[in-house]
Amino acid sequence: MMGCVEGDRVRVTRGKLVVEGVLLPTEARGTVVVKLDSGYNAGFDAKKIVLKKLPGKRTALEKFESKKFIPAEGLEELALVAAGGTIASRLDYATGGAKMVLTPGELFAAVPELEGVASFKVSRPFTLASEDETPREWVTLAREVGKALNAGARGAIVAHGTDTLGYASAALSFMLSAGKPVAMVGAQRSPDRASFDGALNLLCGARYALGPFGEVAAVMHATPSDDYCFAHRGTKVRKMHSTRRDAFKSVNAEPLARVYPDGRIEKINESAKAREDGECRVRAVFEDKTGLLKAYPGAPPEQLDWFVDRGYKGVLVEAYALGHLPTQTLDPKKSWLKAMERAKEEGVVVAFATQCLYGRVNPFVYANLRKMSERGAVYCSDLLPETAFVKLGWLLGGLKDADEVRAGLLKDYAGEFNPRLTEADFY
Amino acid sequence: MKNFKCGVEIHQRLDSHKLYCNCYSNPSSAGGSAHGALFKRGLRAVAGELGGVDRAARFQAGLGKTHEYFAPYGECCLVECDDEPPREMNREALAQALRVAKSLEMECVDEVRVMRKTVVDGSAVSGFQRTALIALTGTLETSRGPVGVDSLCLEEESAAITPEGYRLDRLGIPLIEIATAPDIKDGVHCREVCEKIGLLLRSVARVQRGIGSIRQDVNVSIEGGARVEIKGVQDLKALPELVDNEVKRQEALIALKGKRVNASPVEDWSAEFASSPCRILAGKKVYGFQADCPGLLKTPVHEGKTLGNELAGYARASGARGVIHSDEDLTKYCLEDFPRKGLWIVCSDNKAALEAVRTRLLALGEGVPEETRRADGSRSEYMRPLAGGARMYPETDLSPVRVTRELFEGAGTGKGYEERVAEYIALGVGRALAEKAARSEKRELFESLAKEWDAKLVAGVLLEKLVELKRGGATVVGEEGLRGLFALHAQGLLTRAGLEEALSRLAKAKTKEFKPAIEKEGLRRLSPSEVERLAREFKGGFAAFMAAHRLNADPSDARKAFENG
Repeated sequence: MMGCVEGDRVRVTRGKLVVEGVLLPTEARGTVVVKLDSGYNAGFDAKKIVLKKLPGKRTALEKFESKKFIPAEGLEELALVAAGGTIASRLDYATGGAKMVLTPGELFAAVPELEGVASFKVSRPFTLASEDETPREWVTLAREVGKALNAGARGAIVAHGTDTLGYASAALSFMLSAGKPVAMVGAQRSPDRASFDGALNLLCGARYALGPFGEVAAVMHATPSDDYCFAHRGTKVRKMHSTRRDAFKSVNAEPLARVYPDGRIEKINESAKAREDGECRVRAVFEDKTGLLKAYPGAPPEQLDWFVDRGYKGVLVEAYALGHLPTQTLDPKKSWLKAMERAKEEGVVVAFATQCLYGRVNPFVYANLRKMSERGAVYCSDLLPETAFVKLGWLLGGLKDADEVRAGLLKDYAGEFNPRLTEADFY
Repeated sequence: MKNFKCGVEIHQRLDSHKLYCNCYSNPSSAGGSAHGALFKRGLRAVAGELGGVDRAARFQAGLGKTHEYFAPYGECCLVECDDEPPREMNREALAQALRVAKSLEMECVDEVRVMRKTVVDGSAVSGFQRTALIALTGTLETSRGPVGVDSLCLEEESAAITPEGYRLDRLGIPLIEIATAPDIKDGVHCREVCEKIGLLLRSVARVQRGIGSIRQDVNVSIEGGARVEIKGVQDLKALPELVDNEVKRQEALIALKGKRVNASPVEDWSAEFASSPCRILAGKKVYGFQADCPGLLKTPVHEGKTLGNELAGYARASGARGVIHSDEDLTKYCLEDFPRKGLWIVCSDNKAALEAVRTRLLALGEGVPEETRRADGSRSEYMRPLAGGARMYPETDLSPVRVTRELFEGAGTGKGYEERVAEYIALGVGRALAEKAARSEKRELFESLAKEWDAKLVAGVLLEKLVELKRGGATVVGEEGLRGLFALHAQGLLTRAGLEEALSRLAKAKTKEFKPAIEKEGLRRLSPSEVERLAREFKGGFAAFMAAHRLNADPSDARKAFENG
């Protein structure tokens, strides 16, 4: 661009139009984008303009306020594990969208109130948008959190992307025999906005991590208002809306508690486990060869074969309602019975959870369900499909025998089963 | 006055769906949902693109308020609630903006980039207003020479404040913002510029009408003063005096330049007011401070306003109801016996507000501060520090919009006000009525009706008779009925007087039943032969005849009958 570099002060001339400003990087080819002195950005067709560099200092772009964290004296220490996500994102000039780059110092600058709540030992094992995370990162996170808790932190906060926050919460629930509270927090609006929702989630997350419970919980906005958060049990929480602040809901369970930014915590779920300040045992394992399938009308059973052919050790199927998969189809090729038989023969564990999300699967009500049970299907009661998938991969990572894994799927490790579904659990 | 500089920003609501979602709202018209969502949000000060935090944003986020919102279901969706990212920019609104830009001979950008303008007073749930620069460098011809038009932007309307909090139906309505260069000569000229731009907008674009649908912000500075923005001028008649008052205010403040003021810190004076005769302060938490400049607050700023009033504005901007000071008539507060000597200022329940007053008082010697003020008739009051460029941040949720040739040419060119008036006159409408038609919100209907029927008749019926009937509380025919009546008039079945009578008498009839209805109502126009027969039998002159048969006899037929008879 005629010797001009991003950040230079430039003049754009096009006919009678003459404007000056700072040259900005852009994702659009053939366009010159200038930040005018009024603060507006405007794009001009590179072919139609004359661009001239003006004297003056080059402006440093992407400079964000950072803050050295100075906690008030005498506060307890929490571990803050920053894993990326919207809660740590801001503008990316290369695409014009938001990207995950904010440092913990910048995060503290966005929520200076944290200084009055606790002191923080910060670690950043990776910085990813949560859709880019794999189960291997859950293993890393579990180890990082376990290490910090055993080193004396009173509790932990994991700042995480929201897309897979439900999965990661379930993973940490299984991998850590927590005893101490672990708050999984995220944001639906980035910290470069005045309406950053992660601020309340972080504050309430810190309050939860200092509080009386001993479980992994997703601590996120309870309502569209910035007044309090729900702490959702890590194995019962799901992102139920793509964009709302109160996207996270407890499914088949009540939230553990209401958590207010001023430190008040109101218990809701009587089964919430109390804090135990003993050692946190870490079982950070996950079998990569764990698959997930969804039943849909016409779904070809070869999908299951595909996983079996590739040496998968377990597959979670999001079955219909009570746990149904096609068995007596008019076209016999569409029945899943054979594929299920083959999976059983090959020692692949197949487990069912309901795609209704709410309610339980049941192996007995209909004959078709019994046929699947005979072929080794494990009906995962009221588990969310995502939680069942995580649990399956975790069990496969630690256990060698398929029957042990099948038995393990029905055992309660982290409060993942609700033995009593009441009218109040569906709203 | 030396080096007077004045420019205006005009904000006009467009009559289209919202700029970044599919909701529609017109707050000036009646209606709107009573049901909606209620929620509360806080806002924080954030850095702009170049890392700076805007002073206006810092000021307001520092107030630490929680804002209450009401989102009526019929006029708002999750986008206004900041619970869903924006949808694509409303292309119709963009086309209107391009059309206005063309009328002002402006240069359009090649790529529209949407910005977030930080606004943390709560009037935008997201904490920013989306705004995009569409065009630059235009000209407006005025009676006192050309006035430059610096920029045209397309932005979102803010939420409306009510005693219960903010209502979100207004939030997101597309607004065209036009900013002129500081070429305005004086207050009278300022009014002319605003009127011209208003007429142009109404003529070229499809705009909302009614209270609040157009607002003016005025920027004024003089030699030795500073740029001051006065927001929300609604009454153009008040503009000349408003501008004059701002000049006087700046002159008064310039006269105080170099003035040294010392003041004690703000302290808790509650004990001194525990059993005070002053009912406003007795038993309250009262803060106060003293300064070494007794009498200073009596200094007139402009007519009807003293420096004391001026300073109280800073307290009110921080949420206080006002301050009481020793340069006032203390008898009205029963404080004439308050023992402190010299200048003292007190404020109840709000320490920050009094700190703001003290800070301003100490800075008096520095002259005129740059600030944003709120218009109140022909006066203004402090609102917040003047916002700068640091409050702009790119909207990461939206892609830039390329202004393609197709988009640019497809936007068309609108007709200006003068051009429309000339056209209507050429159709036979008198000047006064033609001007009324060109300004009217029924302009499009008028043009469409005037294509089919006599423009003069249409203008008279639409802009005068209908308005008169509605004012009297009558129910009148709708657009379809109006077309039906004009058709009957054209067919010779209604006289003009009969048509005007039918406007209300047939309000409830179906259009296809108009023919029998006018017969039944006795409104049918008599044929020339019927008029002639009646005239022959009539005892009396033309005027008496017309008085008797006003609704049914066409005056020209009657005149002929009387001339022949």
